This record gives sequence, C-alpha cells and structure tokens, in this order.
Amino acid sequence: MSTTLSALRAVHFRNLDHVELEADPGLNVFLGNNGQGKTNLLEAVHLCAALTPLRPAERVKELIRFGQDEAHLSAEFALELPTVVDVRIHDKGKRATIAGKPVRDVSSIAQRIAVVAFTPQDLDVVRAGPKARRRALDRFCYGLDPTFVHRARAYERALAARNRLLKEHVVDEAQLDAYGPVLIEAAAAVYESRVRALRALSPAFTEAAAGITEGGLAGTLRYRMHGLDAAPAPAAYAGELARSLQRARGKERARRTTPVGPHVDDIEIQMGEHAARRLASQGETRALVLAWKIAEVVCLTEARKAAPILLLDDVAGELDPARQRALFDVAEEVAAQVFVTTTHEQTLPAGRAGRTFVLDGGAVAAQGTL
Amino acid sequence: MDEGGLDPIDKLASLLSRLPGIGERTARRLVHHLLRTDRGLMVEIARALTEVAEDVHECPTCHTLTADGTSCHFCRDLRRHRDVVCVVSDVQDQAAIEATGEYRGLYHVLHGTLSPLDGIGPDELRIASLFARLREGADIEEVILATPPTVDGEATALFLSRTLAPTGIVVSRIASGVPVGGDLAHTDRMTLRKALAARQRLGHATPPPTAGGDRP
Ligand SMILES: [Zn+2]
Repeated sequence: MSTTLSALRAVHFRNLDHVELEADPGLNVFLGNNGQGKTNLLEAVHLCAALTPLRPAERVKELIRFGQDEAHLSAEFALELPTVVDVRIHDKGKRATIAGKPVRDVSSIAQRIAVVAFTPQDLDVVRAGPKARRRALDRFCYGLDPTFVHRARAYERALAARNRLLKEHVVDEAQLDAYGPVLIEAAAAVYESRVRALRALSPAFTEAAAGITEGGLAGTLRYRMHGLDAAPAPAAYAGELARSLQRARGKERARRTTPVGPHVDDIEIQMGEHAARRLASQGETRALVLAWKIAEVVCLTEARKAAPILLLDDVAGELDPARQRALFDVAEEVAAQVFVTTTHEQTLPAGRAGRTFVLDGGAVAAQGTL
Repeated sequence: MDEGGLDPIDKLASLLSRLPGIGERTARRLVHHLLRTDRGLMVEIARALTEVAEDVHECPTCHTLTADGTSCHFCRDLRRHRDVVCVVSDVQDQAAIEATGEYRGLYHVLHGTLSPLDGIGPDELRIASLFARLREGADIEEVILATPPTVDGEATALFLSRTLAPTGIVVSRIASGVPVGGDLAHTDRMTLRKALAARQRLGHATPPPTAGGDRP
C-alpha cells in the first residue's frame, strides 16, 4: 500500500492562478519552461503533503499570488479513507485542516503522509557544511517518527533560551544553571532519535551507493558529535555533552552562545576512508545524494509499511538518464507515487507510464499521458 | 489602535478582534450574531465584564485570581492542609490540579514561567513573594512544583528547586507522564492525579556550578 495524492487544487498560489488536476497514482510529470509554474505546482503538492515549504527559509507572503489576499490549496489523498488537506495562506501565516479539522499539531500530517523531496539544493547535503546534513537527517527522523518534531522544538527552545541568557550584559547564573540540564535532556532526546534514524539509513545508503555505481562507490554515513568527532552511545550522550559544555565554558562566555550540542554536530558522508565533502567529484556528489534519497525511500517504506510520495524537482538537470532510472526503479519497486518537474519529456527515462501536465503562464495548458 | 471615531458595531468588532484566536472576520460574525439573536445576552456580558474588570484581583498570599474580599477561598479554607504549597504557572493549571480532587494543600500561582526569549525572568514572576511566604509561614514543609512539562516549565522548576535548596524545605516535582510539551490544563484528570501522587523529591545538596547534567 502506498500513500497517494489523488487530486489537487491550487488557487492564487505563487504564479498559479487556478489549477486543478487529478493525479496519476504512479508517475506525474509537470512540464514547462522556466517560470511557467511547474516547480510552484510541486511546491503546492509538498505544502499539502507535509504542511511545510519545499524550499527552506521561505517567507509565507511570497507564496501568495501578487495582488491577492490569500492562497488556497486543497488536496485529496487516498489514505485508508479519502482525506482532504486544505491549506489557506494569508500574509500573517497559514491555516490548515485535515478532513475538516484544524491542525493543532504539525506532526499529525506526517503521521499519515510521508514525503521525500529531491531538489537541486539537495546537492548541498554532500558539498556544503554540516547544517544541510543535519537538516536532511532531521527530516528523515521526522518521517520515521513524526513526534521527533516535538523533541527538535524543545531543544531549539532550550538552546535559544540559553543563548539569550548568555547574551545578557550580566549573565544570570542561576537561570543559566536552570536551563543547562533542560538543554542537555532535550539534546539527548534529539541525539537518540538521530542515532536510531542513522542506524536504519546507513546500510540502505551503502547499498544504494554501490547499486547506482555498480559497486564503484563505497559510501557510509557516520555521526560525529562536535568536539568529540565520534558517536557516543545514546545513554552516554548526556554525560558527554555536559562535560563538553563544561570544557567549553570559557569559549561560551566569550562568544555568548552555546558552542556544543546537536545544533553543531555533523553527519559525515564517507567514500571509502575519506570524507566525501572534500573529495567527491561532481558525479560522485550526485551519486551520493541520490543514494541518500533512495535510502530514505526504502527505509520509510519499510518503517511505515507505505511508500512515501516522491517529489523530484528538475532532477534531469542533475542526474543522467541511468541514474534517473535507478531512482524511478526504486519508486516503482515500492509503488511510490512520483511528481517530477522537467522542461522536456525526453529527459525522463523512457518506457514509463503516467500523466503529463504542461504548465504555461501559471495554468495547466495541456494534459496528456506518457 | 484608536476606536474613538468608529461606529459602535465597528468599534466592538475591532475590540473583540484584539482577543487571541479571534480574527476580524470572526469578530464581525460574533457581533452580528449577538445583534440578531440576543441583545439581553450582550447586556449580561457587558455587566459581567465590568464586574470581572473591577472586582477580580490577585490574592495577596497565593496570587490566584479572586473576587472575594482580599484573600482567596483557598487561602481562607481552614480545612486545607497548610503544610504543603503547590506551585503552578497559571490559574488554569491550578484549576486542573484542583479538579483531580487529590490535592488538599495550598497554592502559589507564578503567573507564567521563566522565558528568557520573552524577557521573563524571576522578577517578572511571583517568586519573591513565594520566598517571603516560605520564610514567614513556619508550618510549610513541602513545596510541590507543578509547572508545565515544557522547556520553560522544567527550567522554572529547576530554578525554584535550586533556589529553595538552602531553606531545607522538601521540594518535589510532579512526575512525568504528563506528555512532554503538553500543558496541565489539557491533561486528563487520571494522568494528573497519578503525576501528583508519584511526585519525586528533588535533592540538590550542592548545586552544581554549571550545566551538570545531573537531573534527578
Ligand atoms: Zn490565596
């Protein structure tokens, strides 16, 4: 069984004026030249399926079509029952309902629908700093166990509170002491989820990396706790972090910010014995990111007993046909619904069945089948 | 915002929309609903609002909200156990604990939790008066910390337990079981009853110098 989106309506969303479509349970291709709305449509699917923006650091107002007050998205998903997710975006924020009920807890959507997205920015996972990898791993943690979001938020709150106290002209030691153990406890909970997620992801990643390069690439994932450059057992993490904080006390006071914790840890991607970040070629970078995504799809399908919805933004620009085929094969194997944007149908691997939607000037100008 | 020049309907809608969770559209709908269905209700609401605004005040001892004379009915009730004080962040949480029927002691309402991100420190909460109360009231033997199980609620409990350590008064924390990040007011009675009964005594003989990771 897989999660699928059966119908979507987007009104006044970015450059989309009014788009309605019925999706294929398999492959859906959004075609069009740049600026015509195909990525915006993909973003609409992501917002309905995850209630978070596809691209990070998005200002809500940019999502509303110029000159309009409100963007309105509505998607029907084939879950155990057909379920409508409705999202209204105003200049002050967004309001979402699932099956008519207001969403109080963002994780309630992830309990029902899992999404794996692949955009050109994902190449940062290999070549950029640790932040992109932490974000990627945290998204996967959230997919595996949606309640992760509460642990992540508790940690962010404790961290922000503590950093605020450190920035005071005269640091209130008693308050700082009160937030310390709370921070450590929240950090340990985040760490435990990350380690558990990595334990599932890592072997699937190794297998996928070998698979798409015909054994040419020995990829592994490794957690590195900042300052320790290792991954302590979850039960030992709180103690390690407490010691680490103690050691970094001088630095902390000088910089007025918490210098250690899950917010600075890294997940090292290795090729053989070496860190991929420094050594991976363009081709290897793409293969490793692809392996990460394939591993996510495989692990999420196994853990959730349902395939995630796969969103691919302009992968033709990043992956050659053979690698695209590897991705589509995995999707087919787990019966995942796929939404893909591209400028030309010919860039897709041949021999796939599905529906095409041609975007032109913010509207669906033509529909067809593959 | 100045509502002075508006017509009465706009003025009322504008005032209502200042309330949390009420947008302009909802405010307008409420006003028209009241006008259409029940003007008597409007007069009653107005009267009740005036009464609350004029008569409700903080109890000088426990800081709960009361319309009674000076002290609240909790503080005046001589059948309540006077050797234990339950510290809560707000009156909703106090009501939730009261509703368990399990607790028969006194209360202290902080009116918030520590929240450095909102500029709320110990001085913004009713903490000084808690200490004054403990110093003066020789019969208080236990303080139960029932701040919410959120980051700020936990930090507040820890702050209080460490600051109270030198007084020698027994300090306990309601047991977890209340969902993390949740709030007491929305926790079911049974869970809260168990959390109260299974409260844990906190010990901080020598408070660690910094984040020591030694949560009890
Ligand atoms: Zn009182």
